Amino acid sequence: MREFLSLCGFDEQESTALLPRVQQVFARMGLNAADVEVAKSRLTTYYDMELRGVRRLMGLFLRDFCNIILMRDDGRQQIVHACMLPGMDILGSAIMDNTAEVGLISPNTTFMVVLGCVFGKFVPILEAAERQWLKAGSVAHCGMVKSRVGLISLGLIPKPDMTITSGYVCETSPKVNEILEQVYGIPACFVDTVEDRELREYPDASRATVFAAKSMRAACRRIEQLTGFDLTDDMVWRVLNGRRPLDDAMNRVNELIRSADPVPLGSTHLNLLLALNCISFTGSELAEAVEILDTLHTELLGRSRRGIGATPKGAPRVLAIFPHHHSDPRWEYQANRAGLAIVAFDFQGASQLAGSADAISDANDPYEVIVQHLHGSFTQPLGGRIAIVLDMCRRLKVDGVLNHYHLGCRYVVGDAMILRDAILKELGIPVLMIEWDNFDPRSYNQEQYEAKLETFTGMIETRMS
Amino acid sequence: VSLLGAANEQQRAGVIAAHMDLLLRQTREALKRAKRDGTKVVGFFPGGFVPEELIYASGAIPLCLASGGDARVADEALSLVPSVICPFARAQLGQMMLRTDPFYDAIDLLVVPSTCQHLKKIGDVCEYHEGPRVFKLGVPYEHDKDFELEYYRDRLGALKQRLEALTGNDITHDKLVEAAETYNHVRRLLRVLAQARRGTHRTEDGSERAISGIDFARLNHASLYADPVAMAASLEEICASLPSGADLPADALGGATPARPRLLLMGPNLAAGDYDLFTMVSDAGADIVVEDIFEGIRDYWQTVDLSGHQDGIEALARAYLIDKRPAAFMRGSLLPRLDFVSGLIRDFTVSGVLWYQLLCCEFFDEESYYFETALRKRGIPMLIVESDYHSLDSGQLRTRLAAFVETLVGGPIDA
Repeated sequence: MREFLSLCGFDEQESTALLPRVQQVFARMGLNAADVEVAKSRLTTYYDMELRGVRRLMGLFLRDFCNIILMRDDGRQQIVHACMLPGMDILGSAIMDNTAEVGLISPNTTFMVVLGCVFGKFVPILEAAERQWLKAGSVAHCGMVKSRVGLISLGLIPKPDMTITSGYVCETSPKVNEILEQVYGIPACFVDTVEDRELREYPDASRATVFAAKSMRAACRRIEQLTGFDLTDDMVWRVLNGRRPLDDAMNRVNELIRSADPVPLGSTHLNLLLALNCISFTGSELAEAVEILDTLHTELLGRSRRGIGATPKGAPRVLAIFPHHHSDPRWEYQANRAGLAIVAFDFQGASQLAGSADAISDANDPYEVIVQHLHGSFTQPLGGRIAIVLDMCRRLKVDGVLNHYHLGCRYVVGDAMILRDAILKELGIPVLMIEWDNFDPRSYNQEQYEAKLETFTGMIETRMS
Repeated sequence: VSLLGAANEQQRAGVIAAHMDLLLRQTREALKRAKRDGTKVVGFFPGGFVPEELIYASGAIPLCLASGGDARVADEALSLVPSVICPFARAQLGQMMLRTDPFYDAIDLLVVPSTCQHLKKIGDVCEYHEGPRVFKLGVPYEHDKDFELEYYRDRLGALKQRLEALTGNDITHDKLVEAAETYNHVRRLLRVLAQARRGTHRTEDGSERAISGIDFARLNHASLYADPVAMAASLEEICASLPSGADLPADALGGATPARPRLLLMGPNLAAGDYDLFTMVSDAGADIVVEDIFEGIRDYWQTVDLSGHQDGIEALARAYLIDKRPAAFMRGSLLPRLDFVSGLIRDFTVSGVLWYQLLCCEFFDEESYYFETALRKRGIPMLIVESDYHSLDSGQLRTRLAAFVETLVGGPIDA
């Protein structure tokens, strides 16, 4: 176990302090010594564990994993469960920084990293949901909502006092929480926006952002009613301002990955960077996360200067459509082995209005600042998303696009074919279409992916030559 | 032959078919005239959140697009969207691509409500491909807060402006009130017709209903396309030939056990043209006597009262968003809808629920678990049937339906 903790970036003293907590958590999870051996093997196979930044990143997820599972033991008596709701990481920090009684957890992504990517034991959680009301098969239901039902039904996380989710583009997530309310008696709360943006209005998203801000504020009032804790705007502003260094550090790492040749970090790590954004940091954790990213950046810069990369110099650069696999690193690992460098994914892109003062109708409203992610690729109407993807392809000078579309999400799946056609027509670069579930390791099919990647790489190389 | 005087299923179907033919012929002729004289045609997707009163009051012809049931049409759209988009939504796109249906080919403006993920995506695709001009009508998922009603009212206001610009006509308050009453008349008549199914009417072929499920569905579908005044005239004629369901007592069957099990049809959508299930249920020995369908069936339980309101748009927003029972896509809709269907089960002497969902409708697939469990607790069995428009009429499904009906009548016939 100590070796495992050392691999996760903890020094001797930290390991000693953390060990009882980790042992308690692993006992609850049913993780034994053999599982830890598997985890060590997976870490060294799929991740650049020689980088201190990566080791400490893994440590950060392990600690968040423990914090989630032991939240009630740690004294937080009322727990709100958030999922598929960008911005709740900020509200979670604002709540937990100001009260020791209330906790807000967003467990799914952390569980996918630790139980999925590291231990390779995520499938039982999905199967638990499938024994309830979410059918098996990636076509039927999204693995993200299955993981929520699985975690709660198996009792792997503290039973929440309330669930909260968004229906920004998803019908399934709110319906899952509504059924959870009926089956488990957990009150459900929702944050919504409106989906009425027309292409002729692009990039304006003001109706969507103003509505979402009001909805998020109303949801916070419900949390206040449940917990008795008053969440003030000042508290939210403090977190928003406090997280800027984290955003900056994250941008530095992402920019380096996008610009360096060879790409200095394996594509399996991109999921870790994404999942990091879902954690509600409290106290000194935020500064630690910034330090970890800075350490990673320094190490990657060093690699870059020495010409060390996850793929050879000049390797084809590709943009992924939809994020990287959340619970299984094998696909990204295989893509790298096939010689492809994944430099970004489309959800990182946004319209030109994103981040500008023009996009915010009330600068005094912190909730409006939080919901600015609605300018991003994900929530755009099809035409807007295409504009953003084409812009990203041009800016990042990619040689191809990996359109791995998540079957469980009708919203993104519906875009897939037209997106491909637009890329082919406008840019003429190859697009590889792969159907999968973004959160379910069972959708991995090595032989199929190998054959597809070989063809795709061949097409890109022919074009490049 | 009137509907009441019809001696058998064939004659009844003939009466309904005659009305349907007339109504749809009139609509097709109206569309031809519209093209000649410049009258605008406004199509919209079903689900019950696009107020057709508003379209009608603008002088445009409203058409609720609900064609489906034909796999070939749905598959036509597979070159633009993948097969996990449901066949009903794909059928709408398929019709627009094929351009063989005069209703779909006549559209000057398409109103897409944000009620169903699949139809929303079809709206996106239509917009991207510069098909009919698209107006996206956002519909809030909750309505217990002021800003939600305000938003919907504003969007209806924007739709009003768009319609006025399209048609060149002002939508005055009086026109809106008049249009609402015109559609209310259709809704009331459909309700009378629906309620007539609470009682029995034994015909020569031994069936026990005033109007069959398939005939009611066809008439309801006709109301999505037909001119509301002509539709009302047809419905008045049909209603006049039936015993009034509204006059029936709460226990319309007088405590008698119906000879054939009476079923409630529930699900996400029932397209105009998707009627195989009715025949199969009938062949299995049961009757569909009432339905709770989200898309494709006009909601006849609620009318829209604009009289006495200064602001017609505000009243319209309240009527469509707040006053009616919540739709499946709305948050917290499970319990109110369970209450509603429990009422239907009681009032229509229903002994089983047939849950009919289309392939890849992940949303209703989730709900099926809840309703099946909740209805079982109330002693009402539910059978889930899934269709992709390709293979509904299969031996396997016939066997399942037969077994379900046997269960409802007290166990296997040969047990």
